[in-house]
Amino acid sequence: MEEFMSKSRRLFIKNAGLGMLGVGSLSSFGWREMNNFLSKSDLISLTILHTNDMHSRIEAFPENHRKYPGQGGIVNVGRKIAEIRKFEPELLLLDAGDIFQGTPYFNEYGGELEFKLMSFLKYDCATIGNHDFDNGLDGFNRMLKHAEFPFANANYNFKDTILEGKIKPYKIIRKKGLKIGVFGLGVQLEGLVSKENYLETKYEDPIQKANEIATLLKEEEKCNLIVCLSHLGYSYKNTKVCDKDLAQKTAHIDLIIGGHTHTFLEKAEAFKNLQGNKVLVNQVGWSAINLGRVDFVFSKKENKILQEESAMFLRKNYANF
Amino acid sequence: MDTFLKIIALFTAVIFLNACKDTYKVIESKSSNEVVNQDLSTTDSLYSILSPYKSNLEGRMNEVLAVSDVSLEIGNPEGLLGDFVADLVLSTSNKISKEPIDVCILNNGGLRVSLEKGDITRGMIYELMPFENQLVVLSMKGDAMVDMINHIVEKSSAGHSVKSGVPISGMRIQVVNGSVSGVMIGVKSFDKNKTYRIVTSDYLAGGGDSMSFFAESESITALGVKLRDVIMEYVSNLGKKDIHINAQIDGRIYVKE
Repeated sequence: MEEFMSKSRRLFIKNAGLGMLGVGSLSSFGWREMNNFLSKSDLISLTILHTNDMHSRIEAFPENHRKYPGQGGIVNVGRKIAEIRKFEPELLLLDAGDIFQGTPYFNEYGGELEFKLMSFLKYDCATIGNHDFDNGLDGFNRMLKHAEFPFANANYNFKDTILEGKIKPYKIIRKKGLKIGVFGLGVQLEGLVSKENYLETKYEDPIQKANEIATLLKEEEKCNLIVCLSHLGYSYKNTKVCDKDLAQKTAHIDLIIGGHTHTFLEKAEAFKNLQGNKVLVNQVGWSAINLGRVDFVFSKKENKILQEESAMFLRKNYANF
Repeated sequence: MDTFLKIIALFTAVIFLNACKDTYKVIESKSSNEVVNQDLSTTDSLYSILSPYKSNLEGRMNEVLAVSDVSLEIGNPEGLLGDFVADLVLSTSNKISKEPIDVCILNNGGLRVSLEKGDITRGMIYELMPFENQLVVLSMKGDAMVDMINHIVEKSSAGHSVKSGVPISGMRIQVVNGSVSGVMIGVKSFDKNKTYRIVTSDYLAGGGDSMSFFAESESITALGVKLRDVIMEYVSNLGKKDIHINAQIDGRIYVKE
């Protein structure tokens, strides 16, 4: 009996522990309780919300759309983000590129509305997708004044272009006392983007750059979490470099937020990196049809101790869930 | 002495503990992506940012240009949408160009949305072809076109995604057991020694979507029209004549495994 109980309790921790914390199924009371608990203990939770390939989908698809009736749109994803922000004011909000191109809003306004809405939603960082070059480097540059958030990219060398010095390889973001390193990677431009649109921009090896930047973020910047915004694509039938490769051929990255292949994942998938550590890869299709969500819990203590502590707390407070 | 050692030990322990305490490490993670549905009301602040942009665009974009009796989608090896667009591009280009054009080649990746059965609005054509691509005409020797044909065959073969498909017009390709068994240009068999004229977008002509074979072309001439405008005008003319869009797959790329 004793054995059964401890086993079921472990199961409960596994299923309910962060599940409750992560998914917005708790009442607001529950959330506050949980956050109080976390702050009193050694634990810090961090919610990351993310989008990719929004492709100027400002409003939802029409109600008679066969595949995505009434779904998607920056304004609608924005409302969802705002709701989650009520419980998690210090959430991290990121985008993995291809913000531009796909509806007349882009043809008419060149990305101004996309950037304004994302600024209003307090995006923390975004990376550059191939379609963000569609109005040329100049077209992107002209829109930057509407973006109150930074762009990160580590493998496009913008030397001798109008974007030189304006795009940093990475951005350090501080939330809840944590130091989070966010860097970006872009897809090979040659053969995908017209030369006149990227001009002297040089594409550099994304895996090599990722290892370089992630090591710097880990060892010199001492980040608690390292996130890569990748517009490389989730996976390919050929040998083109993808997020699955990136996850397994690098070290120090905790989460890869992907884009480009418009891949719908139900949740982040786990891979083992070069050092055998866990790295998550997530991607949420396109057009803001889905909102990506990954929750992390941080501790200074050993994993084991924490689980016991949170187990006790959860058993006490959420036994009825 | 004993006390002194104890103090040293205590200090060491404290330093050690502090060192451990220094960094927060990820100990657990959980992910669950959420579906976004339309639930925005006109009182939301997001809506107020959108509103002036929306009202400026809406009138023009909601204009119904024509009606389609079928849903047009991309397909591989062939889809209604690709056939429809490639055909209208070839016929329109032949009206614009002084010299006859034999073939149109496009890419499924560039046809960004399906056209649903029912009203086709100007906004839908923008979403179908959001790019500002211009049409260009290339002259290519038949032997240089072999790479193009192989590209179409390769992209049309089993295991390739719908997005990889290559819409063509003015040309028929028959593939049996993975090898080309027949190519027709217009009503004649493909001749390696002839020079053909091909219409495509400037994006593809420049090697976009891995169409590197266009580098072999002998000449390139801009038609001076945007691909989107050509589609828009064609659809709009159908509407004016009250002709409904109705396309059928005709087996122009025929793959038999």
